[in-house]
Amino acid sequence: MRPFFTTLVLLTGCGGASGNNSPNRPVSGDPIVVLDDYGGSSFAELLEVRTWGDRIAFCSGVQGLNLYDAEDAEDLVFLDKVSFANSSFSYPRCQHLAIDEDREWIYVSAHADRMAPQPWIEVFDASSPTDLVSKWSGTFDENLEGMEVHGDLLVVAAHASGVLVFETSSDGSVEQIGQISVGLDNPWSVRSGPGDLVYVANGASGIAVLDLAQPAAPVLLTTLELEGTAKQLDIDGDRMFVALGSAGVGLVSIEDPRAPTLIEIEDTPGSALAVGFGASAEAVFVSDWNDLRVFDLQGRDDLVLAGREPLSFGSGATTRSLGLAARDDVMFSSNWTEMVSYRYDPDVTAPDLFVTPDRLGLPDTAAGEMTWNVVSVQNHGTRTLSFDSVRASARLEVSDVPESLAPGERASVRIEWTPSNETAFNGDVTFKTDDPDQPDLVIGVFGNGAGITIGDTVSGLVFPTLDGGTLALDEHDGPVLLAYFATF
Amino acid sequence: MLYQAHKDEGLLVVGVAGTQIFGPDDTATLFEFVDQTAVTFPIARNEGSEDEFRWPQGSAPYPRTAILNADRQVVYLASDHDEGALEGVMSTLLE
Repeated sequence: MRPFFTTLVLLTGCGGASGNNSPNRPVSGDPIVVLDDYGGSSFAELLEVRTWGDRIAFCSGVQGLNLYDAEDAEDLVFLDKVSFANSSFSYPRCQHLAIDEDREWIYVSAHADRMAPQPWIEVFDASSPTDLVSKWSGTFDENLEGMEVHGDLLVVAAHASGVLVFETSSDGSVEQIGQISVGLDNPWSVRSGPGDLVYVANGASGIAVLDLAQPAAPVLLTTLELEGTAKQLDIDGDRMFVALGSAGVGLVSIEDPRAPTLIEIEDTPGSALAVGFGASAEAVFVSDWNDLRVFDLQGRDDLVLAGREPLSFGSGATTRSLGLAARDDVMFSSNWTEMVSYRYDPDVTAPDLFVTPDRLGLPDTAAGEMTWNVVSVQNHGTRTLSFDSVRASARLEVSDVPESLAPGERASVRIEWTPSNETAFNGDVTFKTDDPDQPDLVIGVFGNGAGITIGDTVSGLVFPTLDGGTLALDEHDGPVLLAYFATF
Repeated sequence: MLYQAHKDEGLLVVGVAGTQIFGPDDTATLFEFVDQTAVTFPIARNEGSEDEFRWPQGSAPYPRTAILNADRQVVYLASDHDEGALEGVMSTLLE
């Protein structure tokens, strides 16, 4: 027997259940339901999404700017789609949007990448929504990210270049009139505050507050350090909600708009990239990479996990959410390949099974020998989760499955494997519960086969670095995490 | 964040530019990426190790994550980025 390395997950801050099982919330069911999806091309690489009035606009990595009528969130209606003057012909890509609601214009931008090495901004007239018309486009040297229309200004986060301030004009053109970088870390996005104030999601340095009373000379009023990486934020009155990447979602008070203070941070298991406040539901929607999360804003000072929506992608695989916008009790999520609308009902409570990892690796094992590993099961819902049964592929044995889990509770489940041969094994384990979203939750289990796998020893890895040198892993004493990524 | 939390305990994170979709990135693209993300861990080019691992099937080629313990034994492989799972692994390795 080769007992193996546990993949026990230490999930923290998944919200308590306080208040969610109260007599005032007796309805069971699924609190988050899918309303509609955009049904477009299967490979779309959807990114930022914005909503205004009855419309939603979203950026795609390969399908340009899309505009939909979302008056009825259960029936998204395509309006128009455009590519761009300065993007790749084959992959018309934008990353960010800003909406001028008065003029009915959409500002679109892209940072530099392998598809289009020059950052750009383009402006579209959306007053005739089925015929988006380009009014102006221009290229820039700075690496452009999230934008916001602030009166007659366009404010743009620009990483190492800080925040850029542009003056807009009636012909659609923008002219840079101001910039601030001193005191800023890594601006990812901006949002309008009251009066001349603009809030900046400032990367690893949290939040920054700018005063644009003199647009040509922006003033940094204050910064608020936060855990994680502040990527995006949303505002409702005197409350700000911040997507903090791997740190989760932050709740910040802006009762004094010039001096924000942290109320709390709720950790999430994924990476919180976008956040939106659903006003009518008093809920904070979070795009958490592998799923969508909803937090009830209770008493306006407490975020409580109220629901989770897994992102299915055919054949049980999961996709990812990279952008989100909220309108009342509806969230519009950019689920990589499709735009999907969901409605959240705060009066509905439900159990919600969360299993990690969802693909369990086992070390190479000889025929007839046994090895094992564990998965973590947790209830991310608001009602007690009951396990009905567990089904597993042949050669797998599952034990330590709890009868039930209270909201927030977790347990470790042991999975043993005794192969009958040494060829590649791909099996699965199915957890049957009363989770309304995933009553049959399947995880993959794999072992043996070709290639370096869990339990194998790797030596002699040497990587070429960007500065022309090399990095030899054997020269490092501790553990190493290799993160293979794509830049597009 | 994982790197910041555990680098003083001996964790090394290496970001390796993948090659599975559009081929290898050029240096300028990688430097843009570093500027955009402000990562503090080293970024390296892919030297071929990616193709040697038995990656579990994922919904997309990237991200992919491998963790090697101090003895260079593979203890974690994923075709995704699961922050919670990674933190769990680190907590065990760095005990």
